[in-house]
Amino acid sequence: MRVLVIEDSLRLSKYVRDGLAQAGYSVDVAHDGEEGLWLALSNEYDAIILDLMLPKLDGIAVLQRLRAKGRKTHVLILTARDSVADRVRGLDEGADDYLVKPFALEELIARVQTLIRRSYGFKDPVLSIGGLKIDTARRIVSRGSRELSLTVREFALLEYLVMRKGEVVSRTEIEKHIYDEQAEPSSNVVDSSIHRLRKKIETVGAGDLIRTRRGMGYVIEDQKK
Amino acid sequence: MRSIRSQLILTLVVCVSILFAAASTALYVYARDALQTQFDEALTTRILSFSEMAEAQVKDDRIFYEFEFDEFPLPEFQPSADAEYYEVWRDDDSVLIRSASLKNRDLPRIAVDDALPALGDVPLPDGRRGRAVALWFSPLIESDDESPTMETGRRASRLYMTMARSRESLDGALLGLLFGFGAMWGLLVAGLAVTIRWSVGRGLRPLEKIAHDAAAIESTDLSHRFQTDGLPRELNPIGQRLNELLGRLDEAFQRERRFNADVAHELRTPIAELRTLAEVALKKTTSSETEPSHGEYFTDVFDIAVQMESMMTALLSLVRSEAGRLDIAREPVDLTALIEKSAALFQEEMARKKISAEFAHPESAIVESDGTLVSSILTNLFSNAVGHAPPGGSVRCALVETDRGFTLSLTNTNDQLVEEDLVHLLEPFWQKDPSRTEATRNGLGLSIVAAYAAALGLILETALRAEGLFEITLFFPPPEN
Repeated sequence: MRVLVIEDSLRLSKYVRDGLAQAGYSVDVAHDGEEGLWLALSNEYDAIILDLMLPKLDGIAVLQRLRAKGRKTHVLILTARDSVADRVRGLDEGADDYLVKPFALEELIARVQTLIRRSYGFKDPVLSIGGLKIDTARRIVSRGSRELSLTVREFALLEYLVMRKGEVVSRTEIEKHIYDEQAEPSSNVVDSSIHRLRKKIETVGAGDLIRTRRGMGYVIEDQKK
Repeated sequence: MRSIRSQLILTLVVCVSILFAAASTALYVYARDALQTQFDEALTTRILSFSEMAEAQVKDDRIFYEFEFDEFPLPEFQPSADAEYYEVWRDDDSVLIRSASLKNRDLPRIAVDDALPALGDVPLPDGRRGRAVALWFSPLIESDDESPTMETGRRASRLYMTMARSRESLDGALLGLLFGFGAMWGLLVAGLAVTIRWSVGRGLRPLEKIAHDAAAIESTDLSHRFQTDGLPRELNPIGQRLNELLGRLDEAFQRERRFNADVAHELRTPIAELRTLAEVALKKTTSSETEPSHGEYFTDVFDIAVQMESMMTALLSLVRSEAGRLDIAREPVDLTALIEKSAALFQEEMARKKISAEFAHPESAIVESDGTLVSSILTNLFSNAVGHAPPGGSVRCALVETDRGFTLSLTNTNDQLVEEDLVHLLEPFWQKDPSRTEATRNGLGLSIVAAYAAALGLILETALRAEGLFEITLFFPPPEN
């Protein structure tokens, strides 16, 4: 899942990016409102973490322009402003969640996960397909008592496919949602990741859940009996 | 609790009632006297005319009296419920004649000092309260055609006549008048109470509106203003003063809000950085995926600590200064030396930003002040000038001596500031950039300069000069001796 962090504090944005990356997210960072808005409009993010006090364009203006352009990306406001009026204003302008600094990184990640699940229509943090249990909160995939050992990228890939269960997902979409702008996925990196993921899923006896639709992409669905 | 309405109503009703009572009393006394006079005049006229109707005749050296009104008695002197009375005495107090209504009784005599009629209240024989008039008079001796005498044309010996009538009609009229005035007074008081209550209520309605408007003001929103257009002339200034007060409160409220937000930002952001950094570092330390790189973390931890320490030190200095808890030790201080020392701290930054510096000051400039505080002022001023001058900009420091002491001007290029910013420049935490991105500046420098300058009795002025130049000027007054 790909997240945009718009935060002017270099240190805070760096460590939030690191924390989210550790949790398996692809993260882009912008340090001012204009850059943040440009990135938000240019890419497809699953969630945006937005500071309010930003140079060039403040957070509320970024939010307003984003919504005015019809972007429905879930936005979490992360700010030092803690008054009720500020919270209400942020939520009124179209934010989906509000977190005040200082915050627990675990809470920030949990809230981001909740926003992403909500954007794909899920409420339960544990997704399931073909006997696999994907715990998006604990970042664990298991089948029965057996646990799959997945890399951060593989987990993100599986999570994204399951979030779009039954839909054909193109390679481009996978690249846009799994890789951040600093990563330059080679032409077959998605195919390789899918290949490795299939093999790991098969090792726990879940069968071939991921199907290839030639020329279109991949689809994950329960195996038909 | 005192009520303006009740007080106004009570005061007005009492005052108007007293005034009306006084006016009524005066009117009553005037009317009573007029009626009494009229009554007395009628009585006096009558006794005078009766006295004129008396004649005397001398026969055989004896005087005989004739009273026309006795010979042809008038009906009002006949016995009846509202009879009137008269009685005439000789000089020797023997009764000469009396009205039939007296039925051989006597009227009380009242004292008559001279020839004029005397008046007085007397009890009438039938028990009624009466008014009597009496006079001494001497009837004219008339001639008898058959036996004329020498006495003709002279006056007979004097007689005392009294005449009385009931004064109940007069008393009744006076009582009616008294009751009339009393009833009018009562009605007026009641009418006044109602009218004044209505009028005062109507007059106080704008006050009630102000109270209603004031009640609608929320503690979190002071943008409300009272409508002064419809207010009466007396309340208009109050409305305007209240609006001005609200404006000042709103300004202070906004300043407080900005201050809180700025403090929150200044404290929360580094704490958030520290906490996030620690959480990420802990995860990396326990994770097998990534090698921990402690050096980078510790550098950031150190920088954050320095930033917070700097902010806390500045904030404490400011609070101490504003609370008047600065220890000021005045001594001869060389401003030139302190300027050079403070400027030297920023040489590296000026070189890095390619800022041109220009200094104009005497070789030595001794003032009586606190060296530590002046040094802090100069350091903050240079930090501000160098920090806000754009790359390639300029900083100019000029110190001149005048007959009013030393004047220090520090000018730097700054094309961001506008005239409206000058009022905020000395506010704690104020920064031109509302996002407060720059971690090395906290917006307390000029506030500390202002606080220290005030503590030392220095005058501080800020101004925007032409071509994007910001100038801050400090006046060091000469020693007071």
